[in-house]
Amino acid sequence: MKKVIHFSKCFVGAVVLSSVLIISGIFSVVTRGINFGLDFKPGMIEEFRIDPTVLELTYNGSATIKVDPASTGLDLVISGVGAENRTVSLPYAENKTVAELAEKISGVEGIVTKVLDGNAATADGLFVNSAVSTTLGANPLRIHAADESVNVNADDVRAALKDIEGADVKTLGSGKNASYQIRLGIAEGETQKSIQEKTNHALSAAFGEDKVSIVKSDFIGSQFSKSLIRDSIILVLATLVLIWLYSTIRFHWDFALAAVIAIIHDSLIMVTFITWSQMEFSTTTLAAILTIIGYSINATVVILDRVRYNMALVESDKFVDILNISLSETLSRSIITTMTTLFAVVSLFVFTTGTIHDFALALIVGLISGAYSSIFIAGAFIACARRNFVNKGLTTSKSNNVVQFEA
Amino acid sequence: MNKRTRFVIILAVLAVCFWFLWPSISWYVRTPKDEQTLALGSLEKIKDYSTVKASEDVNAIKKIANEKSDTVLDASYDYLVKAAKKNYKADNKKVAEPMTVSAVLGAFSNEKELLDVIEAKYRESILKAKNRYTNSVKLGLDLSGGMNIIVHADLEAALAAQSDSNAAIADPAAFKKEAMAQAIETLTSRIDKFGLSSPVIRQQGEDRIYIEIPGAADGESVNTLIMGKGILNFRLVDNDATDKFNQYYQTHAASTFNADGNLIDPSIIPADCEVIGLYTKDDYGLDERIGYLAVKKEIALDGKYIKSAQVTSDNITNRPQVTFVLSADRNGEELSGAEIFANFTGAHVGENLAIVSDNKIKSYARINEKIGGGQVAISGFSVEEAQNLQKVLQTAWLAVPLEVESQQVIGASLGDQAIRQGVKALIVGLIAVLAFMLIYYLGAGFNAIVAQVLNMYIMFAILSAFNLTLTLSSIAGMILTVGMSVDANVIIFERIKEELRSGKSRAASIAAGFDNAFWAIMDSNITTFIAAIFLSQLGTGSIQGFAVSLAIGVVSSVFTALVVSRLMFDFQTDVIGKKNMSISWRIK
Repeated sequence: MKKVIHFSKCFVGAVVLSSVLIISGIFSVVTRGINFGLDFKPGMIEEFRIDPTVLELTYNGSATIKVDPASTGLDLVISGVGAENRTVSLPYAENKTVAELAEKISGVEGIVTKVLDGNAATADGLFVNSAVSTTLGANPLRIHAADESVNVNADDVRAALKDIEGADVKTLGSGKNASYQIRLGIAEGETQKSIQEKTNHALSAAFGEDKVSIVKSDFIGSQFSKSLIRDSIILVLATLVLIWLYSTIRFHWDFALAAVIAIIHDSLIMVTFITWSQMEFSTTTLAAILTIIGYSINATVVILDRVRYNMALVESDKFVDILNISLSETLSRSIITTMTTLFAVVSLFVFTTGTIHDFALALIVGLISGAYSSIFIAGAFIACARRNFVNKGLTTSKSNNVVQFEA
Repeated sequence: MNKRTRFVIILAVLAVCFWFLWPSISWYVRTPKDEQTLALGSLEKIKDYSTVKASEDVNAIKKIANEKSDTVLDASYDYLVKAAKKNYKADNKKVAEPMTVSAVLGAFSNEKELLDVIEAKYRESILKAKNRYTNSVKLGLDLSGGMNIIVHADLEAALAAQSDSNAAIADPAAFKKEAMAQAIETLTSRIDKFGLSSPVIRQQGEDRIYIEIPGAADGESVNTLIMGKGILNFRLVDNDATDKFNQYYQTHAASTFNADGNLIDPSIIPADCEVIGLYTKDDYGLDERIGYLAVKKEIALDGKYIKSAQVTSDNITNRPQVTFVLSADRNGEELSGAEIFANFTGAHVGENLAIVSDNKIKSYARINEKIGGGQVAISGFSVEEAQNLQKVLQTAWLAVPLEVESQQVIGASLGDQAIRQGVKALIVGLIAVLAFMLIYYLGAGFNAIVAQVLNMYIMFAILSAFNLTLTLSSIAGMILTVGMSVDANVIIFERIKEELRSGKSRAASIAAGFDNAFWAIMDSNITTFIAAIFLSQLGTGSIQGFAVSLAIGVVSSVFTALVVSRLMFDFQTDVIGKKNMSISWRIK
């Protein structure tokens, strides 16, 4: 038999600690609020780069030619009638400058190239404005390259947008790969079209139309936002109810309640973390909370399953003893599972950027909280609910052998 | 169950998975990009392509035959030789040996027959590729780049506008449904016209339309496309110019239009005309182009004057006809719709008038006489055609105000970056987890690794089987599943260790370990599954992708942990004859 760790001694401390954390979180929600993402707070977010156009392409043939710039090379996909169907791959490793690349491109019949900066290196990748079609036609397709000499900072962008009320500007990345993010709310009567045109005109006027290229753009209207908030709340509550129902059928009601309390605890701890760190709260963050709900219930159920198993096995009339034995027996499982999941999530955290990066961070917090709550919070609740516990298995089978000291 | 049955079951599952995965593999790995672009194009483009290619081939073959009639066609024409042989056999004629060019040509009674065979071959190969795409895992916008738009249709406003002009609508619910269907159809047809690759357009809820355009698309033109009012008008057909154009098109099919659909050489028709496709509905209710007409750029009558349109039947012949009413009210303008039409038809009796909607000619008819009074009847088609035309005409007044509620544009290079990040995270996470299992559980860890790798394989296969979309959040779901599915293995291994400590043999420990762990694994996974399924039904966007891959992962990880890993243990005990257990550094 493994050594039994007396987890029950820490129950009171754990409950106090969690309460303090959660209350501080509620306090922070009230005072600092939650940094709601676009999903919940309508408006527009646009991310763009300011880099010169190095090459312009036009085409007036009858085929469809698509330009596909990737991180390692540029592909020309030629299809349709009027030309031989093929994919021309031009890796940057073989075409180190824009001039070399342009020469190869002009080898394709019908494409007219206009080189604006032949010396620009291709190694850092070429890119196009995401809001234009990459099918070549009479209108020139501008191809941009990262340029160190572009000296723009967030203040310049703010100055460019000074006529637009409530524009919030952030710099993402640094050096030549820097991009800028603008966030705008929607004023009364504004539409996606008007808000986008206004912003893009201001940017083009300040930095030149040929320099601005949009990386991504998000717009969410107010009506859509409202229905999303309502749906999300229903979603979380209904998930909790379903999990509680299933656990009640499989276990006893107080076990089920302990499991649900543990997951509510985890959700609140995550909300506390989110408001402390002022991380953006988007649908992805919501997905993280829901994941932890699923994950933490997993951990709690494994422990409860062991408690139920031990109730018929352990000879003790104190429920905390059974609880301590069960928790000790499942401890290595709890630690190993949390660790392996953490490996996977930390890998996500390290290698990604943007929303998934935040998602992974929220998961890390939730995983640790989930492992902790399945032992201490769920344990504390059951210990409290069963403090008047009488071991039925024990009293019927062993009652004859019990030596009674008292009268 | 004995080991052989279990082994066969596992093999069967893996084989079925491979069958599901195959379309995805052949689409993403084995189909070149230019073929992908062709396959993703609209059916109209595919048809154009095969027709042009086929006529090029026919000319090439004829040229070979003229130069040297006894040459044998090269291997790329094998299908044609086969078709020729089949024709000979069907006619009970002797099949020439060897099959020379002239023998091949002789098998077809006319050039049209030959053309059809070649065209079918081109079309089928593209449609096959399209089919592969339909059956494969799709990349979400965050991975492929592109644009998604949610449009809100203001049905109340459309209803109110109707109630003002006409008598009260009897059934508002039916009206809304019809208006919504029309709005979607109009958008579909406009976006199709745009030639974008495989756009998705579907109704979301009662009054929203979801549009997804993968790859790069011009934001501004898509916006105009959505927000733009339906453009319906009547224009005069120029018969001479039409004939001239058709003559030119027959010889220059491949080089008539540029990629945007404009004429490369505009001088082939008079400057006051333009060439527009003439469309009809095919058997699937999709627009099919049946030819081109040259029409005057000048608009004879704007669609805004149409008040209502109905399908009726002619009093005398009882044949179906479409009648529409033009406004007789001048509304402050110089002439009313009825007057404009009367003047125009009076001046052009005997000529043809085309109904142009969103740059497609939907129908054209001869003007028999001057039409005064604003009551117009068009006849000469089937009931179905009449109904289609009535729907076209009703777009003129049944306008549903559309508003963009959400729009997302993601650059293709950003998608490229996301794929690389996601794959890297997936691989590193997987390796870290597997290395840990191997170090901590030694020999048993190897079983966990096999189970884990199969788990990933099954997950991708199920994603492929249901044609689900792979997004960054579903990759996140997979990575999390990797971590969580190891849990089932951990529960089992820890149990086996306990049994070993209590002195049981290898076989007994394995049996007891799996039996005791069974309900813990089932209970914990069923609860997670409940949460995941629930989320996948109610959630949207990133939540949905995440939940679906989590749900799939839960199912496949239970299978691999309880069936695959168990079989491996039993195999090692019974067949290899292992007596001791390599599961921990402490237990030997």
